[in-house]
Amino acid sequence: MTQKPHEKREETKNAYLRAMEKGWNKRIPVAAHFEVTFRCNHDCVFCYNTREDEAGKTEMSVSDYRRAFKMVKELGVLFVTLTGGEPLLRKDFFEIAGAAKEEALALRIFTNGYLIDEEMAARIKKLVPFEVEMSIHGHNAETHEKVTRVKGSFDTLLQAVDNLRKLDVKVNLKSIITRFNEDELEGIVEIAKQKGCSITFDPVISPRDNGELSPIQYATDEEHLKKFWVEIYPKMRNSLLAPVVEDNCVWAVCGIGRASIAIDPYGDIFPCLQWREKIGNIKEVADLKDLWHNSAVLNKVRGIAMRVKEEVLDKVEYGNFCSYCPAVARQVTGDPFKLYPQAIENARHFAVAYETAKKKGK
Amino acid sequence: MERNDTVNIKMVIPKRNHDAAFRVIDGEAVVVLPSRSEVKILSEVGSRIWELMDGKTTISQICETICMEYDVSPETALDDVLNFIKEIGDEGMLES
Repeated sequence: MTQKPHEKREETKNAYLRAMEKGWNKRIPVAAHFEVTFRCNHDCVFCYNTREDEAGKTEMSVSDYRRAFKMVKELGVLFVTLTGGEPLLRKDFFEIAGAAKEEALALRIFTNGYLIDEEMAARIKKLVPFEVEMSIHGHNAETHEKVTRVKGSFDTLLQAVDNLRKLDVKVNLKSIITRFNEDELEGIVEIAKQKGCSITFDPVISPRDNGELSPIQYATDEEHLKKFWVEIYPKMRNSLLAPVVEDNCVWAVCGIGRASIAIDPYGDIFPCLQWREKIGNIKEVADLKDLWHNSAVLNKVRGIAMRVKEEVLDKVEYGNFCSYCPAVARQVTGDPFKLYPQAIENARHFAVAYETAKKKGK
Repeated sequence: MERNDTVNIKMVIPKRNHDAAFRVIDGEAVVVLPSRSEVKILSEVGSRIWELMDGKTTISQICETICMEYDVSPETALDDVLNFIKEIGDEGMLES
């Protein structure tokens, strides 16, 4: 019997998860996130990037990226994400992306889509990216633009999606659930469906990179979190809720220091996009493998990720449903082992929805 | 298959799809096919054959390596390699 497209997606997802799991256990970073610029043509109210450190710094050149991609490939990286800021603002973006392709790295591009006209869509198509991800903040221009603070950005986004989809480029829309869009999630799902895109919601807003907490004021409330997990998420997942993971992996709450690595526009290397404690600079590092395995900062964060279960999650109800981020905990509470409100509220509603679905046999 | 066909096919150089990204992790090749938005994980032997398909190596040479490394007969190696090539070719993992 011919395999249905849906089954193919599941097979791919499982293979992707297995790849991540293998990297996880062997401590091989399968994914690298490159913030290629902090410049942006949007001004999102809850953006985690702070641009205060930019003065006097020079973004990495294409030849810096060539060297960096070789180094991360040798470390074991398979997926490279080019993000920002808005990565497409870089005039040499396609040279950078081309350099990643030359190293046979699978390319993901996170963009707001503002610059993707038909011509740019065709150039992106030529890169054969694994995926293009774009943020959508509402189901209409009013809501979306309340967040981006750029007039016309909603229509431009939809046009960008059309331009890419017309060329059969895979697009994943992602949306942070906020006070602005909490009543529009079904509308956003509908847009994704109409455009032939996948959709991912993130119920948690991160503080800014400098630890400033103002983005959290835009977090959604409990009632809407509950609605998301009980009503919307099961529909998106074809009536199946995500299983609680019980596997043979080395236990760690996330892949920090284990499955991924982050590099900013100036070459500074961080354990992840949220934990901004510099471990070196990729332009200066002679042996990235040595740094990866022996950095004191990485060893510290690996240890933290492994101790979260015992020190935090086992002590609270619904802890095993908690998508706990030690970096956000550290930013919000000053302590990576201190539970922050968004994590437990989200876990509680996820758990209730999961139990309900299980009783219904879904 | 006639003898001449077998000889000819053994001289073919199979080539991985040039868009495919892959890493061998823990003895298994994780292959990403971006044009199809797919990720595949190959078996241990499949991973070794995949690694050997460097665009320079003939099927005959791949079979010789598989014979040595897995202690199988030349006939078994050829059957396995050809089946594998057919399978991954159908999945769009090879240059046509």
